[in-house]
Amino acid sequence: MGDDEGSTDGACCCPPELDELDVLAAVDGEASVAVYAHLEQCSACASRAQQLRTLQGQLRQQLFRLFCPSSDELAACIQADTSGPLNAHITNHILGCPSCQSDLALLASIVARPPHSTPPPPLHRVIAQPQPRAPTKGHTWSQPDTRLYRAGTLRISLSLERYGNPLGLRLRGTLRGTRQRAITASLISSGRVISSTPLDFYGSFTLNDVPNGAVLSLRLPTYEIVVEALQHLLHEYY
Amino acid sequence: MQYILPSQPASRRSAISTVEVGQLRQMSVATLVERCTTESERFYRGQPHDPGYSHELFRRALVERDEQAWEYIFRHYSPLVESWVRRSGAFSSTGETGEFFVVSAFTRFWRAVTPEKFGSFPTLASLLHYLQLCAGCVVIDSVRAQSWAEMLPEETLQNGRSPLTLPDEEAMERVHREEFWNYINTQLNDEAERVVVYNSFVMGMKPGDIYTGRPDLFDGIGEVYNVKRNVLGRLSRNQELRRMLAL
Repeated sequence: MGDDEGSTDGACCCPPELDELDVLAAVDGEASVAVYAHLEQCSACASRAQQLRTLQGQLRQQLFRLFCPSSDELAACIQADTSGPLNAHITNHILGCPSCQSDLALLASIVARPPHSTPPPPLHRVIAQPQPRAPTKGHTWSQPDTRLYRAGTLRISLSLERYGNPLGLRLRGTLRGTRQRAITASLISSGRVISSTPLDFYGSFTLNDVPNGAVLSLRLPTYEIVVEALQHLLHEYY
Repeated sequence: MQYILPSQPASRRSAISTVEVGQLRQMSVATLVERCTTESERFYRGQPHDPGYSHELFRRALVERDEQAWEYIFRHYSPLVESWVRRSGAFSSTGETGEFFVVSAFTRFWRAVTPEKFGSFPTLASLLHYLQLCAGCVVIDSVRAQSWAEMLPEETLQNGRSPLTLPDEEAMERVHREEFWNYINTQLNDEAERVVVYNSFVMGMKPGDIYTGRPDLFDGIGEVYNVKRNVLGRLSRNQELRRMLAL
């Protein structure tokens, strides 16, 4: 729809040619089936539709959501909702803008549950089972102090060693068989966490000052593995 | 993002931490990481916990710009940030990975919480709440970028604005677009034309929806189409507008 209107790809191949309103409705996705069928066959009318589509696209490119507040401003609205006055200009815009109402609802859904307000529900517990030691080639024990445990497909190797003062015990371990990140190893005594450490890239961890009676917990995102049989290791030292 | 001060007093952090601020400041990052991990585990198990160590780690990362502290915070809180993003209804439709949102949220958080602004976050809860808002903002930006892609023809997207630009460029572009709107406004004759252009191109509405929203202004959907046709015809013949659009 420009100054060269009507001189596009020749004349309509299947007259009568579509009028401007039909072409506009087609571009806006509100035309009848017959109009779309015409555009399929007629390159001249299709060319007019394309020109109109381009013009509308260029206008939208400049104007689409021009007056919408930024996501930062929406976030400020969420905060103001609880701790200050709302920005009247932004509030008025949101009242008349379904897109911003949708954005605001999305943001509100994300911040609906404040972080660290309540702890998540208890995790499903899997008790790791001790595995018999297997002799290596040559029938020698490669690491005599290392004990193996299994929890489903996951394998855990643990070893204890003395360090620091004569009573200090250090637990070294490795978890294999998962690509999960964000796994934490914790020592638990009398039901209370006494120390924790994140597993490194290789799934290894070290926990110092292991007390008698401690239990090891490996917390994954959706469940925890508990090594109660840590006692067998500890008994050799206490 | 302008942070509005939470209602809690500034001394709240020390009030809920069993450790004196002076002691926390003297701890090594390694010790803080160890204590922070332990306290988090206590929280996750519903046991009494002390958020002071985590708050101090945030302070080291954001005020002292300690890379080791930042690395720990990123690693430790990434799963939490990802869980916020994933539980939003928009995540699956964005086509982005959880990692993309996590990195974007932390980047936004890092840029926003400057050393000067850190004092506005007296508790771990206030820091995490702000991180949560940052995560929400990156989700919204992604959803908006997607709606741009759906709204604009491919050729205009290739030559036109990218939805993710630097803040300065974004501000300049907004000024330019507002000038463009002001010019368009001078070319419109009455309220009906203004409503049609605003709703069609600013709001992205179809004529049918425009009529539904303003039955008081139009006799029927046909009138909306007539107004739109007339305006588009006029705008397409406008030499100044063609220059502005680089037609």
